[in-house]
Amino acid sequence: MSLLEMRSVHRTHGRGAAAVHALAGVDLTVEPGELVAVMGPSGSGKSTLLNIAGGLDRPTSGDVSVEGHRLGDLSRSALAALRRRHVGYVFQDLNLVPSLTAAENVALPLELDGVGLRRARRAAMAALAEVDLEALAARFPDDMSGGQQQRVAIARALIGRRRLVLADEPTGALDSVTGEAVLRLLRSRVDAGAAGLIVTHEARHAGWADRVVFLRDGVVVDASGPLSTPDDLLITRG
Amino acid sequence: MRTWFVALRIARREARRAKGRTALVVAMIGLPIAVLSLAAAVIDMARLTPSEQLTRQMGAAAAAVRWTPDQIRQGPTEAGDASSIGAGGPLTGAPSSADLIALLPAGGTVTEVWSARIAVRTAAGIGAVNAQGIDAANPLTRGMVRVLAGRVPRAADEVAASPAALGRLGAHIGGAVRALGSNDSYTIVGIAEIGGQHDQTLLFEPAARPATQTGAYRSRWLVGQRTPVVGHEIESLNAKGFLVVSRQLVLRPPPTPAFHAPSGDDVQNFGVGTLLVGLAVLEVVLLAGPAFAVGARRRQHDLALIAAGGGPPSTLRRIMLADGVVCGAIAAASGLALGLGLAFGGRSFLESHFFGSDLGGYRVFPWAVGGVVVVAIGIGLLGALLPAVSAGRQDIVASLSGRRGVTHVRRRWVIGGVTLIVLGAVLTGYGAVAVRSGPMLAGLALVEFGLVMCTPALVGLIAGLGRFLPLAPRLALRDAARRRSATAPAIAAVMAAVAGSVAITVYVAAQRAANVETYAFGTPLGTVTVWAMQPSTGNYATAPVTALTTAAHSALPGATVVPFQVLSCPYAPNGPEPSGLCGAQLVLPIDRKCPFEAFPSLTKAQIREALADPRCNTSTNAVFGYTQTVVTDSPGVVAAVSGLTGSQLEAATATLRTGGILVSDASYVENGMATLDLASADGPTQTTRVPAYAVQTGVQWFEPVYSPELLNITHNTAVQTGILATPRGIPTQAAEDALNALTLDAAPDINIYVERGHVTGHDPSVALLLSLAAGVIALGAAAIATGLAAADSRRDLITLGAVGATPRVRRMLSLAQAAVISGTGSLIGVLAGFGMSVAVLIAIDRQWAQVWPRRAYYPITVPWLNFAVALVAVPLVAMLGAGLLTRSRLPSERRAD
Repeated sequence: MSLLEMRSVHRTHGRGAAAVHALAGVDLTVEPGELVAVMGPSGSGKSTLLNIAGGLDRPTSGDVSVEGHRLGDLSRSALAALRRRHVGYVFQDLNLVPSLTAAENVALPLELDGVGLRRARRAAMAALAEVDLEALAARFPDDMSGGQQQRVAIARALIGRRRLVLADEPTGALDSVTGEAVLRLLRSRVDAGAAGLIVTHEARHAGWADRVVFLRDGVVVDASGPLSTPDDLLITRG
Repeated sequence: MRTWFVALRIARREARRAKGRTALVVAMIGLPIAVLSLAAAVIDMARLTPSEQLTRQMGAAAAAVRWTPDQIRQGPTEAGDASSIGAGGPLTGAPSSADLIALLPAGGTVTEVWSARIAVRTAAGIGAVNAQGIDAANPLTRGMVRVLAGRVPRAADEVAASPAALGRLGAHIGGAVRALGSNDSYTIVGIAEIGGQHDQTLLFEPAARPATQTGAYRSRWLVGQRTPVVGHEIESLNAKGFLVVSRQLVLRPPPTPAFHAPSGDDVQNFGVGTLLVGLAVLEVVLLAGPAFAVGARRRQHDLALIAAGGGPPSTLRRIMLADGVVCGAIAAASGLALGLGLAFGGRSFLESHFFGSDLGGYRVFPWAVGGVVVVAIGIGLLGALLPAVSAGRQDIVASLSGRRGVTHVRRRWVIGGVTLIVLGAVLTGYGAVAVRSGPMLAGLALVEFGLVMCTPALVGLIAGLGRFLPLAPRLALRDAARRRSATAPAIAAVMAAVAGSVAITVYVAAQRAANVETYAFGTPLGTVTVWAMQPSTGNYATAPVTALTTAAHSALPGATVVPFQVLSCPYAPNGPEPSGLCGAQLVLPIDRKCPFEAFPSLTKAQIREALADPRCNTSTNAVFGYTQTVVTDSPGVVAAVSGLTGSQLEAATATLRTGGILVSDASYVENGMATLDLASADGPTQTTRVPAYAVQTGVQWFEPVYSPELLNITHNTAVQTGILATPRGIPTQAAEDALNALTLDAAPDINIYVERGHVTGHDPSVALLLSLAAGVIALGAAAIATGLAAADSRRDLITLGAVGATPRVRRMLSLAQAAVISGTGSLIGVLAGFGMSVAVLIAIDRQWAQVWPRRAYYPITVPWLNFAVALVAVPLVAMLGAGLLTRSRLPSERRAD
């Protein structure tokens, strides 16, 4: 079963002459163990695609399913539950709640889901250990570097039973070395059985993906197959 | 439940993290809480316990006893009151201490205390002060005297003075006090307060008896004995003419089935009190809500993160509500500390400037502390309610990307707001007319919430004015409209505070006006009456008019001085009965006589009839100035006693010259004539009709002004007893003292009365205190609300700076933003506050309209000065705050928050 399935998804803002078609008939699937990159110029609909995939936004038409759950049938509270249990988000920056420690940020989805405090903290520590940040468990976001914050965000995105990571330019605010490290982490988690949909502007970052989908004006204009090296992407686009 | 723990944890951490913002929010809630706490403590301290009252009145004595010449009987619960059962008590002449001791159980002791009014030399001349004779060393008087400096008098030629008396005398410890009449001199040995009062009092040793103004001492004894003074002992003391105030009966009154009929004051206080408390809570909720709304907006991204991470809308709402709980709890603690600190630390100030007496012990209503905590947290929750609802419904995507977008005012908000205003106005009107505080409070709340809902639309309307204005105010108006979700709550906060302040101010002004209205002037305001009396008989005496006139001109420069006569009705024991005009009664025409009497109590139907009957238009609770039975046909005297001028003065004088009278109640005058029943020494009364003129300048006399010609007819005489002086303005205390000294030199036994009108004295009106507090809160709210809004627009200021705006432009923008918010809020607040107070006053007046005899109405006045202050001072303070908050240098910070 695909972790993410989007079929003929349209998203339109406004009406009549002022209507903006953010997405126009997008079809996309993401399988377990697959990392898919989404590329395109500004305003092409990349972030909209990500928001609809995680239930933060609703399509004007079309179907979206996450692990078999049809998002169109779910209420706001149910969508929130879906995000707690199945979907994790990583944004470009400001991912963490500033008044919670790293461990508390990671544990937040579990706590909100009713998991006991101790169990949630144990799971959070384990998740932080997987991203080599156990030592920073008690630190607040203001006391961490950008890269550390992103790694904490990734740990939160995959805590519990979550298997789908939606990342919107996760390396956009990082230097190249740190960005590479974040992507390597993401790649390793996907290889371990998760799935990821990552929006990026940079070809070398897209090279970490198994597939690249190109968006322009809300339409998928191109999609590459599995890439051997990042350079393959350039060759394909060229 | 677990999400509540998460929410509280986040709220707690956020409060610590954003200390400045938290402090502002806590201040919004905490200031009113501090005022509530202050009021609770002050009210409790001001209400003396029975024990405290007894200590001040009778020290440690078991009873205070006063002798009367009548036979009396006290009921089992009549502590201090007695029924007279006949004249001529068993003891002839005032008893001695030994007489009283003989009536007490073995071992009983007594100490005599007295009080009087005496004339002394003051710094400015001569004045009258209180005098008390208390043996402060006697254990029975413990607690009656508090020594502030020096010591209590121990000899008959020593005296202690209260601080107020010392100031009046212009003296100090070691100085001397000269009592007039006896020329005795007393050495000031100490400064003391007597009975907790802050008035002008001199404390003497009981053996000292300075000459009094009236020759009368009011004496009583304090009784000390092992057993309480109750039951048969009181009966036996009553049998000898002694009136007893028993400590035991005051502190532990026996149960009685006494019926307590609620008085008009009870009804009014309950209704108005409920309304005031309800309005206060409403105002504070409106103050706090905007603060939470601003906080919610600043945390939009964090809340959106939590939503993106799986937090359902309910969790987001709980986080905002938890903010309310945390801030409310902090506000409760800080407000309590501040309020109680001010109450306890400011005791001296309150005692000397508001109460004129010592407050009771340090205390506060115990339930008030818990109540204040509950109220503060409740206010926090209520204030965070709407922001919580908004947080649960926020657009997550927009919030994550930091977009706020242009806010379009939803039509349903405007419709809803207008509906609430109309509904609220109707409900308020009903509550006012039906005199029901519940509907009125609900109506006022609806009106205020309706105004809050309409505020965003109003902001949009006034934004249109921007195109006529320079850059900074234009930007401010446009920005206010664009960020309505931030501006509207800030405006609402200022509106709430100003509305509360204006409402209380109007109410206080009406209350004072009603008090002034109940005062009946004996002579026009400022008139000084100087007259001579024989101290031994109390009869009027002939005065040296020339000398008094000279004294008056000297002490009251520019005053018009005229000599006057009064009807001579000398009293002598075993003398003839009064006759003629002495003892005359004005006769009310039969068709003008009210058919109802105030007592015994009337039925509701009778009260309605009395109120509707123009013949029964009497008022109660009147306080009368001093009047005399003047005899004259001189226009100068008529003008001095009546205030008449011009043609009215001529008409009044003409009436007198035809043998008529002047009256202050037109009811007695029919076709220019009045009817007098003349007393007869040895026969029936004679009725005569005389010309009469009704003086309607506001003076009220017990007796008419008679003409000399009428006295000739009735075989009465007059005595030229003094002068009337009409100065420019009301004479000061110093001028009165100087006149006292000058007239004393002219003749002994001269009396002076200055018509000063209604003297409020110490008016510890709770509403007055609240009015002052509300004004402070209004200023504080304006500064805080605009400060929050300014902080909210900080990144816009950074952008302005980045595109080249000078610091001056950015500061002008902040000032303009503050002016928009506080100016709009003040304007709406003034209107809303005035409307609120009008509703309350109408309700009170409607209530008084059902009481007979009539009570003074609370007039509705427009406090233009207060309006101007609210409309000018509040925005100015807000602009000052905004100006201080705007930094002149660009902070190096990212645009994203």
